[in-house]
Amino acid sequence: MEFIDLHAHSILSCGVDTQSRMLFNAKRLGVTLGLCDGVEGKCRTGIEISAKNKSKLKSSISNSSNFDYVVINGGDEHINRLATSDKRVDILAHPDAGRKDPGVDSFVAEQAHKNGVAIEVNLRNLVLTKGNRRVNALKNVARTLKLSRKYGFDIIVTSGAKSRLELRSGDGVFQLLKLLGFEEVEAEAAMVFVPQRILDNNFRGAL
Amino acid sequence: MKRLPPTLREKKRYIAFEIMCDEPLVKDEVAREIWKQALSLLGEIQVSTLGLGVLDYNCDTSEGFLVCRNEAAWKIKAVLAFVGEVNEKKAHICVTGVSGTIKALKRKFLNKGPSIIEEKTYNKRVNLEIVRSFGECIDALPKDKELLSRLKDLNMKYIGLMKSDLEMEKSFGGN
Repeated sequence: MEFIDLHAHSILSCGVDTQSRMLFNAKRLGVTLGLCDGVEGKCRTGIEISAKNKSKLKSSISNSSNFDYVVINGGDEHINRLATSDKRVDILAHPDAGRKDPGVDSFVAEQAHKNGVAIEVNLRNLVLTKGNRRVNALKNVARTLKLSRKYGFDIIVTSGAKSRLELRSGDGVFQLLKLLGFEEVEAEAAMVFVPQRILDNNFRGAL
Repeated sequence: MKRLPPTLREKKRYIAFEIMCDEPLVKDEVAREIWKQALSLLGEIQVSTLGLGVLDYNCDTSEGFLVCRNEAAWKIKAVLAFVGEVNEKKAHICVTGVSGTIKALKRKFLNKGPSIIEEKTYNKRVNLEIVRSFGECIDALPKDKELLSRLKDLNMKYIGLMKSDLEMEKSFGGN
């Protein structure tokens, strides 16, 4: 099963492995990797923006035209709304960071659908948490999926890997999504079609 | 006790896997973690229908295989994808193949990786202590404090790089 993973980090941002090692391990697992390092590299690279207010968010997005895709670190309700209201944003990551709810309400869902912003399901949250936290993370995924079915916004699945040991193979992720209640078509869209659309929309020429 | 006739026996699938981890693991640790994940994710009732059993694990090659029922193979793959740590050590279990017989599984999927060479050397150019290598890959211990704290946060021991990275300081962001 193919998997395009657009949210991973190398040593150049907050990870511990070099870009080449991350790409080598990803290739071994059959994964096409995009690195969110905020520096141009050996593969498709994106930038992950963490902003606390509207002006900082807008200026960071304006300065990110060099990258293949723009990822906004969500969590705060206001930032989630701002990120999904901007057509230049490609992915809203961690919408549920520091929250008990999924961080996606009907307004965010409508805006995400209207502006083509994909909402992230980060596997790192599921794999590295335990007990109540994992239950909460699983519940949030189920609720995001429910909202996606109603409002039609795209879900994108990423590993959120900060090391080579956090990368996941396409087959494993596909079965995992099936277990979480995704239909096969929905899982395939979240793993392949949505990330491919993001890369195609922002195509800046062959590497 | 008499065995079930062949028509009533459950069909089995053997799943080969490889574990990537910074530290060596033993079979008991691996089996315990797989069972723990299966039970926490699927619950006792579902796990009882999987026919799960970890049959073998070779700590030298970090490869092993388990058995499960034919129809439950996809659930086992999902469970293995959920494993992030084995006995508090960061690890990743990667499924390398599925087969109907142990003989075919061993022939096709096991003992295929490059052998690990453990040899400690210090590379002054990139300020790293190279701990082990396999093929083109290198695992190394950094001297940089920030990298050490990142490793600690991620519960890992070594950073990963390729042999070609040793020639380019840019790969480390100028560290």
